[in-house]
Amino acid sequence: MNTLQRGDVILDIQGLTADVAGRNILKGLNLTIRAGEVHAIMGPNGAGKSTLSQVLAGRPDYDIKGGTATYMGEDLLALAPEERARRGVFLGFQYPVEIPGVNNVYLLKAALNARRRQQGLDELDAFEFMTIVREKMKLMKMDESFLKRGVNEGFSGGEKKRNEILQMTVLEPTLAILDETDSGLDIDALKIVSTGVNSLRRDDRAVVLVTHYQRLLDYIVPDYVHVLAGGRIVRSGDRTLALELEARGYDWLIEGSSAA
Amino acid sequence: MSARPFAALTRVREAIGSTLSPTRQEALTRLVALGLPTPRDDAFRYTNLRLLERRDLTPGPTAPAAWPADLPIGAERLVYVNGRIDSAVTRLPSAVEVTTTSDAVATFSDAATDRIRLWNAALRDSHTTLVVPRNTQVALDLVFVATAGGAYPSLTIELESGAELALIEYHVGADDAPETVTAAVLELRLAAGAQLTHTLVQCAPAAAVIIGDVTAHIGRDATYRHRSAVLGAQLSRFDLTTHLEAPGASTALSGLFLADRTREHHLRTWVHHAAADGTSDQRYRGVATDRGRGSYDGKVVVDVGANGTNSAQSSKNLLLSAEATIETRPQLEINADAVKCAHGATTGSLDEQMLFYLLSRGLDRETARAVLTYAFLGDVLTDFPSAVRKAVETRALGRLPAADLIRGFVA
Repeated sequence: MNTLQRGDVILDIQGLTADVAGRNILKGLNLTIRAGEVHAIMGPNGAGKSTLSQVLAGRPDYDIKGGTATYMGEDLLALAPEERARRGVFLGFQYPVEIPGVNNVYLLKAALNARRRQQGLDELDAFEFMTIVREKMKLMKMDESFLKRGVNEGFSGGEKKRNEILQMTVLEPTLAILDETDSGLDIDALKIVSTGVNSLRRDDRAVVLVTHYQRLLDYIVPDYVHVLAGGRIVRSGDRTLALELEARGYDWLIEGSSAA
Repeated sequence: MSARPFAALTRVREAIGSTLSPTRQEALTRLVALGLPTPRDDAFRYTNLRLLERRDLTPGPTAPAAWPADLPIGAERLVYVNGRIDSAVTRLPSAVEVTTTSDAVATFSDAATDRIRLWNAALRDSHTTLVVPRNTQVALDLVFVATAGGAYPSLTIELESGAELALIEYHVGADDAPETVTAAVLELRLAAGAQLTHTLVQCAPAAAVIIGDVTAHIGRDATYRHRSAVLGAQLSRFDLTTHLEAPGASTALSGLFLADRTREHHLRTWVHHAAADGTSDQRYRGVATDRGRGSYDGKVVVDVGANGTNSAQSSKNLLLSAEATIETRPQLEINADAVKCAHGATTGSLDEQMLFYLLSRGLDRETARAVLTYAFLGDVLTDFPSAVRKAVETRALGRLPAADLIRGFVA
């Protein structure tokens, strides 16, 4: 796992088709993510952005109807959600769930140790773990009270998103998929979240930002921007595509989606 | 059903009837005629006592008292073994006044719950009354040990005005104990301003049957708190009746049950707002797994004139297997004005979103499920005294898969 070089393929999606509650949402999606890259996936509401994120994380009630997703040479779709997580796939949820009574930090410790076991590393002891968490909490400007609380319990929308990014920075995933992490954030929180994401950027990792707004991309500059519409990637480009989308909207692309 | 309901009672009468006082013989004869409650009695709608048919209901013998070493049972305690006070290991707080009577049988109606009390009155060893004097503060542990046969403890505790009592009740027995049957009757009387905090830990051996009947009379501005952790036995059933008899009386009832294997845990609460400005709060959590069964049957009655009553009732339940069942019936009867009442009961399986979230962080499925189950129960454990909570957690965890993995999750 440590042998990934910049440019190696991390995730290769070919012809991915998926249904949600009997409705066909992804309709033959192709996407290749390489080490060292940040991809932004943009698109209108209902295009399938969140479905793609959840499918990649292994959400059980979404039906894969066809296509492949190969992660580091393995069939991603054949792996259980927990196996994906341990292999370094991280989903930052759009709506992180509150789990009262389950300690926030203990979950993080269990998650990190599950990942380390998979990597053949020793589990961290409490002191080593807390040293890492405190450092990352500082980065995310989170106070000590987070340590004692239940998972997302009573967190504001912004706190939940920061907690997702905190988890990500501690777990150091190979592939981070952030589903509308920017939605509902004020500008200060957006900057903090962006700092967290940027701290993860490295030659042997990749980040997928699913977002509705160009604004996030001012702080996390992507290498590629894709437009997801009608269940497929209909246009790919560099960051200037995001600016163009902001100026022109999506309609001009959706009409010409057959060109993709 | 067998041909004759509760032949077990007839067997007791044949075995020891002639040794009882005339009053008790009369009580037993009446009970044999009435029979024990069945699901046809509304109050026992969810509880079937037919397994008592095969059991020996004769009061059990004297035996040494023993309980699991990790239970934080204090030095000041009232210990019953098979329904008899064991004076060798009992030590009451010096402030408490004690009277014991042997043979007074009160008047009971034919109602299902009264038949349990009649049963207890006919077969009990004695009846004890403890009085906590005015403005004194006392802590007392109440230990019910069952080792064989029937056990019929009967106790009244009176708190004079301003008195405070921290009462911790344990139901225990040796792990290899045979099919014991306990029917305990507890009456609590709280005078003005008294405060009683009653913690109940039912961790009886796997073959035991525990029936508990608690009635609390709550006076002016007095508070009765009851929280229960119901984990052991083959079948347990608690009836909890609280009468808020004077203005400003309040009660808070909470607890959890965990019905694994073929265990059954039933709870019936009856909160009676008989005076103005009373407060009642009920918060229960139940988990059934394997072929476990459980029920919550909770009724709140607000009398005419009990204006300004504030009452809340919540029962949340979790089913972890297809063969487990939990039945609930929250009921509310309001006959007064300016009353605030909330009630509800839910039964469901583990939250799929929570489960997916934990899996997506790399937890294995078994651990994730156990963590969520435990967190669900832990919600009502926060009120427990910490030493008791620890003993309860150890037992609850022991019943869940992946116990060691989940221990740290609930801090």
